[in-house]
Amino acid sequence: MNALVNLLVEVSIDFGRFASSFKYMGIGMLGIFIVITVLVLGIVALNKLTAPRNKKDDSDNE
Amino acid sequence: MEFLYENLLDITWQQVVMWIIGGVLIFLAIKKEMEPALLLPMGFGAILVNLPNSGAITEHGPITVLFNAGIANELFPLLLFIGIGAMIDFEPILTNPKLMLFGAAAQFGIFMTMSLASIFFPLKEAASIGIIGAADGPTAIFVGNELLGADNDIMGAIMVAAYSYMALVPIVQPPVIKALTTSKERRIRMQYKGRKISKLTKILFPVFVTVIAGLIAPDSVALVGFLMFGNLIRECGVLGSLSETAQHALANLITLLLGISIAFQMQAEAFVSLNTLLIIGLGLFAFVFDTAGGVLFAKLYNLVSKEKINPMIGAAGISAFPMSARVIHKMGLKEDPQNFLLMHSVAVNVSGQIASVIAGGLILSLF
Repeated sequence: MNALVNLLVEVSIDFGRFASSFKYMGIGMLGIFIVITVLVLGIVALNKLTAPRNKKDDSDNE
Repeated sequence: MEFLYENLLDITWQQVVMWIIGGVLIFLAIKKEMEPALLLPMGFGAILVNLPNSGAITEHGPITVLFNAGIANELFPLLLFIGIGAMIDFEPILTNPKLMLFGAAAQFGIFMTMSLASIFFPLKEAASIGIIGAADGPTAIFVGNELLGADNDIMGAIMVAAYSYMALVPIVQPPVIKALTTSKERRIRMQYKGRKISKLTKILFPVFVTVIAGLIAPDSVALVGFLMFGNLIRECGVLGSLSETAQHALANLITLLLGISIAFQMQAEAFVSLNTLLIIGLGLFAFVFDTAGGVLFAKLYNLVSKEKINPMIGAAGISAFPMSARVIHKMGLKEDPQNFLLMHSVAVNVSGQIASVIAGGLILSLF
């Protein structure tokens, strides 16, 4: 019985921490969308820069 | 003759609970084939370290040595990332990069769970619990170790929850997706516009991701860097045998050692607690909110886009590669046998892998 009581005593509830955690949630989600958006834009640019040239361009060059 | 039975007198009820947990993990691994490569070593290890006066966890015991050599210093998770990076083909997101946004949205569970966990735990511990939602064991271990230290009492529960729920993705995700979507939405067909991606793009991609992640979220660079290093080995085209080794031999060996070493954190006196139950419960929340975040973002996207997407693919952003993509594909086929969502869900799934690692780095930056 004592062991069970000890288990219950371990947990402390603090709603103040809960409220303050929203700041981190907001920054975290915003941060991840910023990084991913930069990656998306980068991939689009990468695709354009490394896209194989079409035949017309090649013949022009020749 | 006392030595024959005196050890038996040292058995505690907590150790018996851990034997049962170990047995359940072994059962799930063998009978249900849930992540057997991890759950089986973890289950056996849980029994091994919870024998009274176990020689495996003395100062120089083998589990202690393995734990210090590979988990306490974060070596195993990072080496495993080389193997994971070598396994992943990023072509689907190079073909359709906007799908990466769904990978970002599906990290919502990490941050929501962090907030929920902060009711019961200090913020650093709450953040380490939230990272269970990365649905990625190595990331959970890495971030938890960095924030709390490897010897923190709750690390065992975090590791067990992270790996157990990854195995339970086929059970956890479908009901959440069904609750948030209509049958009509689940039947939305998506065309796959496959196009050739140049080899140069595939080679530059891992370097580019590492540089961008490193510049914006420097704490993520160890995780992202090793993941992308593995991918560069795969895509460079001149390291075929190294790529094969990373995908198979290295990944298998590290998974084996990781599984049994995690058991160090499953010693009864620290593991059998209400905290563990809370963490297991919060881990489930993390996976549910991840799934919900991805699906709801996809529905939001449909509100503003002419080209409708099947909102189920948003759920694949949970990471848990490739299981989540398969779950979504099967759900799509169940609704409409002609609806093939695999390539789209794989794209979101691999972007979830990148996004979860970046989320881990952001959490490290925040705390």
